Amino acid sequence: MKYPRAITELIECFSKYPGIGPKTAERLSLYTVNKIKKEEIDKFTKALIDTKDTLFHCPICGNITDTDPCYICNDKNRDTESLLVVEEAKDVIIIEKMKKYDGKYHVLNGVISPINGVGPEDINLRSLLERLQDKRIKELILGLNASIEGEATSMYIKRLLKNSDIKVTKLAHGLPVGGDLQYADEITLLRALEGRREI
Amino acid sequence: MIINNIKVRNFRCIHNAELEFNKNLNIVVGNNGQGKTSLLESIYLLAFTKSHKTNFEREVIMTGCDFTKVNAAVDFSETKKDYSIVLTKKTKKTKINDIEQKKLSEYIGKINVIMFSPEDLRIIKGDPNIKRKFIDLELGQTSPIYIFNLLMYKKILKQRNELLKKIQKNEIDDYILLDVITEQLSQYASKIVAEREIFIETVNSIINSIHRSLTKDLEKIRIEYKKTYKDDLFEELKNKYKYDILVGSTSMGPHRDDLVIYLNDEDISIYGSQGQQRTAVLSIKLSLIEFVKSKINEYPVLLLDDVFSELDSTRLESLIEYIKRNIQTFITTTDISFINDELREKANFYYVEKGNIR
Ligand SMILES: Nc1ncnc2c1ncn2[C@@H]1O[C@H](COP(=O)(O)OP(=O)(O)O)[C@@H](O)[C@H]1O
Ligand SMILES: [Mg+2]
Ligand SMILES: [Zn+2]
Repeated sequence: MKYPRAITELIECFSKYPGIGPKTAERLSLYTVNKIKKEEIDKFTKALIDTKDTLFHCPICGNITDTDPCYICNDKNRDTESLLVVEEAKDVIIIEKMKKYDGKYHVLNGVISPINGVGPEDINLRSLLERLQDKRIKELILGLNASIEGEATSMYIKRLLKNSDIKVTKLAHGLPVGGDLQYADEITLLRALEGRREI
Repeated sequence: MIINNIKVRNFRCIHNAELEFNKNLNIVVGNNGQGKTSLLESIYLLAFTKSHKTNFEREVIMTGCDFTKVNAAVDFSETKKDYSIVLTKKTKKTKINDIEQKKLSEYIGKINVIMFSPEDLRIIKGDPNIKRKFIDLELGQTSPIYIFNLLMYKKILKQRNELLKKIQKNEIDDYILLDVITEQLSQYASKIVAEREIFIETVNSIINSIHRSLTKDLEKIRIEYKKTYKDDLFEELKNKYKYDILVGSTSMGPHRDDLVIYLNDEDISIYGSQGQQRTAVLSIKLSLIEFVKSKINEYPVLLLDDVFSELDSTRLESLIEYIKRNIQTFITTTDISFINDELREKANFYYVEKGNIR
């Protein structure tokens, strides 16, 4: 017994996603066949194709965009003195939701990890250095994840800017708001302690 | 702390056991190969999520079964908690009070256990990596931050070694990156080594009086942590880039450090007799009981596997003196004639036969 070709191909497509194994791919495919209407499928296919036809990385900041430059780089009202470096587009969305940061971004689209074959050349670093030639930029804020790769990438950037006048800062990793001290795990506490500052 | 009861499923030859324990002494009796050690090993697994006998935990899953599960109710001086671990061939899940614990560093060390088993001679005679594992485990059980730093260190080490190999093969030529990863590695290394040195120092401050009483004042024991570098790992590694690139691995650091035990100023692994080595292991283990107590203000649970065949009568007596304190103890033996009446009175007995325990 074998599925018709359209189904096996769909299963293969779903399997390309991270976190989706053959069983889930099979379930999603059968669900598509049985439950999803033709109009929905048309929307779905168009959305998929549009990701390739209309989206690209902003040539200035590296964020995913459908305009050149992206709406943030294009925004004249934003503060030009600070640049917040993040790992991926998702991080920009999170920080933008907060509505408190009005500087610009730089999206690396990755972190340095020799094991994954990602070196400094493979992330969006060169354009960061070019941007930093702009004398208006006074502060570079590193907002990378607390993973060892994120940490190494932060250290690498800091090292590249050793002889520049730009102030390099790092987002503090701290206690979750509303969280009682007694419920924070010891590692979070330690990091919060290390990142403490005068008040 | 006291393990009140335990449920063991599909663990080696133990298909299904549900036991209530005595808060003082629990004596596990049976012939060889019946499952006595396995019962202690299941407690050890629940505490450390690891086996004391094998690096491949899945070996403990009963042949032909998909999973093994151990759960227990543990009393602390101020609270009680339920712990459980489920192992399948591929996964390991731990829970405290039915809430899954995603981080190992948040789970290990909540149940504190000191095991004394025939395998322990390896702490003295084994390779440096066995000695490091010993430190990591015993220190880790009172310091989640240590476990965390160690996990980070191991990840960075892998990254660095990969980078060295890539530089060796001319796939990458970025010495700034090598500097950065070396510096990052050194930062975690110094935290790990500092904690290890304090640990050894603390054990040294406890062990001498214990060892002197075990040997009737004849022997002086001292443990020494031997670093593979002098003091500034970053600078020293920087001077060895060429070598590290050539071999494609990191030549110094806590992953290469060693432990040496001296008896009257001689290396015990070379000059010590079998009996002296066993006594040293016992002293180390007894010091660890005090170490854990000093850290968490509560005695750990003591697991004694086959000690009667390992120790002579004077050492046994000192051990029994220890057991008499309020330390919950599990002893396995093939022969109950070793156990005196005083101990028998406060003990529960468990008889093990072909994996059945009653
Ligand atoms: N994964 C496993 N599945 C089933 N039986 C096992 C497994 N691992 C070991 N055994 C068996 O369990 C027994 C282990 O006994 P053990 O606990 O060491 O006995 P004791 O300490 O009483 O001498 C041995 O007979 C061994 O063959
Ligand atoms: Mg045994
Ligand atoms: Zn942009």
